[in-house]
Amino acid sequence: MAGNVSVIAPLGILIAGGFVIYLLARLLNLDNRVEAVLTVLVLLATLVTTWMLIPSWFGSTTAFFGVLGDGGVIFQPNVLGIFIFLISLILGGLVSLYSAKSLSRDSRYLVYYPLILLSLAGLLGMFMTRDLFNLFLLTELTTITVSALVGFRYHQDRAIRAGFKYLIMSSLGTMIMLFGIYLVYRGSGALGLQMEIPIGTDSFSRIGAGCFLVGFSLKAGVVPLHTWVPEVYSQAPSSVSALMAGVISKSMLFIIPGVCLRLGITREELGIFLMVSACLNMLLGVIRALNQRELRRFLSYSSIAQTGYLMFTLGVGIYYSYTPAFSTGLFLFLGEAVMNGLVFLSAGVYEYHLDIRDVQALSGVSRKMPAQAFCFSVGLAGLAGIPLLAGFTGKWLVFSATIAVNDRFAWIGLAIFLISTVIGLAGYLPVLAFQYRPAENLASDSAVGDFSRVHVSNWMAIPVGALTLMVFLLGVYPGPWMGIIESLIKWLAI
Amino acid sequence: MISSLWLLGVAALPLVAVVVLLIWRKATKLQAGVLALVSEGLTLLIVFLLLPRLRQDGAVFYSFAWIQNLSINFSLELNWLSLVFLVTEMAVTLAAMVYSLGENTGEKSSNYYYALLLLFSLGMSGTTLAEDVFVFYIFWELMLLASVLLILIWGHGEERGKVSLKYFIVTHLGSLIVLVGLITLYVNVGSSSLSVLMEQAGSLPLQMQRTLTALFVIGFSVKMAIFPLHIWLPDAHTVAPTPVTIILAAAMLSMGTYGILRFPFSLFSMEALQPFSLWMMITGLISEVYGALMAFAEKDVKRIIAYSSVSQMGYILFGLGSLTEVGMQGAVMHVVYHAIVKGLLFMVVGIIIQATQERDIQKLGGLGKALPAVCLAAAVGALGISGMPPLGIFNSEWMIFSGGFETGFPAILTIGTLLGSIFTVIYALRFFGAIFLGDQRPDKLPKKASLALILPTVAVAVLLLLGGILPGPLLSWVVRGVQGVVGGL
Amino acid sequence: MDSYALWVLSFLFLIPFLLGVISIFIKSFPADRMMRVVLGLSALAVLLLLWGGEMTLPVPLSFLGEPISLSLSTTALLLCLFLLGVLGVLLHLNRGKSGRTLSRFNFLVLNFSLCFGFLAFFSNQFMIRYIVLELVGLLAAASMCQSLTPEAFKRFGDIFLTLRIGDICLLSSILLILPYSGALAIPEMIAAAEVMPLAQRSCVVLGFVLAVMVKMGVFPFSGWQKRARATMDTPAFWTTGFLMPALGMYLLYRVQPLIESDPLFQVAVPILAAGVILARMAISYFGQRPYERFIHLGSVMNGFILLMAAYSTGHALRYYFLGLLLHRLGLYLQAQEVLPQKWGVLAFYPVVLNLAILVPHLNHFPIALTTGWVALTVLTFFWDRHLTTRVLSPQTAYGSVTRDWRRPVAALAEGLYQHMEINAFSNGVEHLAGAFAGLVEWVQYSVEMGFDRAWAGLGKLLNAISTGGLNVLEIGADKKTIGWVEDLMQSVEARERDVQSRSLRQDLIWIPILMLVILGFLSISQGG
Repeated sequence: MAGNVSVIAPLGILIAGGFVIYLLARLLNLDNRVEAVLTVLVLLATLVTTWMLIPSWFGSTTAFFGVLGDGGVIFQPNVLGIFIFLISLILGGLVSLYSAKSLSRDSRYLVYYPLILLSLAGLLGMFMTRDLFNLFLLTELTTITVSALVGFRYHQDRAIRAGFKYLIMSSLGTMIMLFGIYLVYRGSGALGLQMEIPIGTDSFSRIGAGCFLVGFSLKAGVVPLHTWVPEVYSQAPSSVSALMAGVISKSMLFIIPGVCLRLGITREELGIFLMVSACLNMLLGVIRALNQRELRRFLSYSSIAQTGYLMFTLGVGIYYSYTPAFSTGLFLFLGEAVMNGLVFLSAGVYEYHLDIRDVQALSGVSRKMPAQAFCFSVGLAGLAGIPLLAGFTGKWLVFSATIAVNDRFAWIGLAIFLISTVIGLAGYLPVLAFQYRPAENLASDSAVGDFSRVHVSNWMAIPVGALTLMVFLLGVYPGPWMGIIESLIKWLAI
Repeated sequence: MISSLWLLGVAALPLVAVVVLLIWRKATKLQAGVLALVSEGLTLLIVFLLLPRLRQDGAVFYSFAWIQNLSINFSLELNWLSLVFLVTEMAVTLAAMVYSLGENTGEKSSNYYYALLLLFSLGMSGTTLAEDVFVFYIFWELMLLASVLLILIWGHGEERGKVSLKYFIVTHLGSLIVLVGLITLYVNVGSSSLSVLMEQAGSLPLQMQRTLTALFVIGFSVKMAIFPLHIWLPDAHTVAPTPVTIILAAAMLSMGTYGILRFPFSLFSMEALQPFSLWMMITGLISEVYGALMAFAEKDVKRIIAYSSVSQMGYILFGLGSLTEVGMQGAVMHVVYHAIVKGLLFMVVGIIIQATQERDIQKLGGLGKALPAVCLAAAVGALGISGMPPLGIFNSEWMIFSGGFETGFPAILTIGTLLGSIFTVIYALRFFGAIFLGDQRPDKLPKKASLALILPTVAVAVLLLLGGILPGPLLSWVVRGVQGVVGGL
Repeated sequence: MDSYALWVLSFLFLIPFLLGVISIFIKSFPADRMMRVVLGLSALAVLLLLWGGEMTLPVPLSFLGEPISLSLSTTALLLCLFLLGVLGVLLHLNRGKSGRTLSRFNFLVLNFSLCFGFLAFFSNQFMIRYIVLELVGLLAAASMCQSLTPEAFKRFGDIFLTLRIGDICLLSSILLILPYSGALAIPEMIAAAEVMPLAQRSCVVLGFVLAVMVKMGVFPFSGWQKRARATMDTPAFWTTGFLMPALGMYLLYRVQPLIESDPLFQVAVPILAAGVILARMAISYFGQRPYERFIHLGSVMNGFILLMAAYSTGHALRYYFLGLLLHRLGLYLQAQEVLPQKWGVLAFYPVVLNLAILVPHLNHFPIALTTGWVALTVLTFFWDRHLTTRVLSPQTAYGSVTRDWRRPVAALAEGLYQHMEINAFSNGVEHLAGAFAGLVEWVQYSVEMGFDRAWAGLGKLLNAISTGGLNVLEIGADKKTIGWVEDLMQSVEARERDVQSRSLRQDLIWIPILMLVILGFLSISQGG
């Protein structure tokens, strides 16, 4: 083994933390809340170790840990991975806090938090590894842990079905990636992903890259491989949905360029694929979101559309080699993580306290939970792109990047982006408005009943409140965040 | 420096009042209404207090750095052009707020109602004062959001949800088209400041200028409710509570006019704008005639006046499209006079609906005896909208027509517009005659018309008369404002 | 002198206006007495101004930045004086006939009409003139509202609209000249118009002529005069019956140099005048409606003014105006049965008047115009005589005539038969006249009463277009959009149900499909 051990310290903390927490919980019969706090502490520790190591990573393309030479496995951090991981850690911490209350009616919380930690570990590892096979392993880790999380409420048929579906589809995706690994090794004789050095541009490597593209597209929920998304996001615990919709699935999009471009796919090819798929995602997501009865299915389709926005931005950046588009992509990722996290957690609050799963049942809910309704409204308004919220700043940046390249394809994509935004409004606004329906207009299926106020537990309220604040901050004062992203982007090597 | 801070006060004062109202949940309608009135009144006062500085320097400016990474500043500028629109919308909002005290909307949740009215007004004020395109768009959307919520929550009828959604989506589509234009400017010039854009946008490639002009004209025409982009207007005006309708028709529609003057007309060269001149004039003519015909066909009293707005906006677009100084002056003056007369007519309609509980014009009649003051105000309004001198709209109309004749296009176009004004007379006469003459219907008025409604209505009627007889002050503002636009052409 | 004239003018404008305003607020306002006072004072003021002579007075006011001036021409002053006299007669008649006192409403209308009328006569700026002409038009229409019935309001609307059309024509002409003159003062505008390109100048002249025709009630714009006859028994009729036509005359007087500016106009305007005179006469002659001398003959005589306007005759036009107004007064008195119906003086008056104008100015007019003028004068005389003495059968009351359109054809056929079978020459002329009568009768039915039907029909057409437009373009389009959206929603819902019931296999199949697509794309791009 060579290199700097501190490179894999965060990974180690997460994995070890997962097992330790499980053991402690098992042996000491820990309460759900205690386990949640422990998880948060682990995540904090990971955060701290990551921050402490950043100076040595920035400016350094040589920091690594692993076994050099043929057959060796190397972990090498990059700024993209750091950025995404930090966001994932923060969201993971908030989700864990939230789960302290949301899982209070579940008995199997013992395994929940370790699974969260392991899935995040897999995610981090995917960004750090410089080896294709390792990448496959870590992807499998994420797949399996997430599948288990999806099917967490195994006493519910639909949850089991959703978990199963995700497991099968994702596994099939990773199997295809494995096949791709074989082809790459056959073609180039190597599996290492070095910075700026392509493995090979032969036909086998390119086909292998295609396999990786399929695999990661499936995990990201790219049309037509998105069919697991509505099932999974609506059946998994809302905290899991928040994590998946917020960071896990979307971060796959950032792995795609790092892998595929080094395996022989050109920028133009990848860019076209991303832009065309983005258009499908954007349109399908918003159209299918219309008229959805189930709240979380509605949010799932919205998430598919959000994935499309992100893909479009990345596609523009890759196809036109336009760096500001990557900044935009990162900002969008941050914004979508926050907004998706917010809306899914808010949906969970309604489910937990009022047993509301349907959109119609939201009628008049603002009278019982005014603050919660406000937070949910902020999330929806943010997703709709209302000014002074995160979504609008992202929209502005996407427009700027697309207009700056000033190309026909970009303009077409922008037009589709605009259309999807407008259609999306038709979906978001009624849901938002339902919460504020006056008492005399309440539908008979409203779950509100009487108008006595319901107190939302602090365990849930704090994460929701923090995310709401973030949505505002990203909209009103995005400068610092954009500054961070711009300083990161210099070191981005795709 | 102090006057710059006062300019910030124009935006900040309503915000403070909004926060107070949001906190003060137990406020009665009167309390909330008075607070909102005081806030709006003080804001208007601040604007007038800035006049000496404006006369001295030509503009009052305030700015602070906001999103430095994107070179976006929170900048406000008061110039002569924005002054006209700003004072108009504030005065209309004031009148609507006074009117709302006598009306029965907002009895519940009054604090939210008046908070949204203030936000609506703030959106319009900010739009006219914004000196940065990012800030402009934010206020532009704020205007839309506040009005949507007002219609959604306090609108009439079961359909208000669908109507507010339609209103939001259609106008938002227009806003997005404008946004594309704004960002294209920002990206190509490298600045979001309007002052910089005014200096440099003219040197963009001609094709780009034309494309941007098309985007802006189309986007802002949605807000102006120009045929065939007016589809949101009749329903929104009908379903909204009367005070909101007054602000929508009298003030918000004019924001589209401001947008066209502020963006393509101020930024681009005459060469870039010239190809659009004829089309804008033709579209204005079509809108004028179409709106009048629809007003004539309609049976709902509110919709009659709503369609009349489509028609009047056609005049304004015609004047703008002439690309002549007098035409543009006429268009801007028409904005002001239209605001007064439209506010008056909707106030009249509101009183009639409240007193009779009826909106079908075929079921109304002979109300002149029962409501003499309202009848007189309606007569003034009907004559006013017909362009009868010395009521204000005549002044603006002849300037618009004069601008039309000054263009190089065949005179038949302007003559057609002139003749099209006959339709305005027809529907105005029909509106007045059907409601106020003949046998009284209904026989007994279910409700008494409140004095709190009648007084502001009569006051606005007097204002219309005065505005026509003494157009001097308004004209001097308008001339200076348009000079700033024409100077760039 | 200027300031003295200015004071008198201010008095002339302000006194009627202020008294009119005051009368609104005082219920027991002595309208009758005050009206006589106003009349007397106004007449005195006009006399004083006449004595002062012609002058142009700058006024310390401006209109939209342009200085205002007033023009005191002898023509205007004489017309004002005459009109004041006519008003006095009407007031006297009103009191004398039935002892009626002047109502406050009529007092208001008359005083405002006086004020704005004087302004219109003396204004030296076209836009001010336009504004006050509009206001007088409004007052003329408002005079119909002696009672607030729907019928009265309908008359108001009809008159207001018709006069508005005239005003729009006037405004068009003014605005067409404005870019050339750069000022609104009448002399400058006329001078600028005289050198405009012919095409645009034609539009300007047409606009002015149409405006004049509307105000004077010349065919085919005499409809509003017919509606105004409903107030013939009230003094307020002065506004519609005398003031407005006089204002039209004076407008023509001011723009007459334009008509002279090109031979084309000097030919076209008299031809137009002859056309409208003949049309008016033919319709009245061959029609079966009662002959209303004041309306019909008045309309014809006003048409003669257009004949004269083509050529400058110094002050003769002024005297022609006065002569015609005097004739008009006579017709009015006859209509009110103050003068005998068959009073010969009135019958010969038009002939005498026309000859009195024509003969001294024979050298001014081309022979064609002179001939035509004389012919029309003679024709008018006989036409008037015939119609005055004609007795109509009872069933031909106004508005209830229905004609069989085949009658002219039948008459023609009968005529041809007579011609071929009997004696063509002796019966030919009579039958030709009969056929022509039938044709004109049909024209009269279609045109004259057709105007009324057209007016009503226009309203119906407008209604149909706008209602149809509303139903198709607004309501229909809205319904279609809603239907389309609902269909889309239903298909989305149906699709969603399919998706939820789909088996895993159906989802998994997309993986190899996408794989194939990507591989195909990669191979194509590599090959490229």
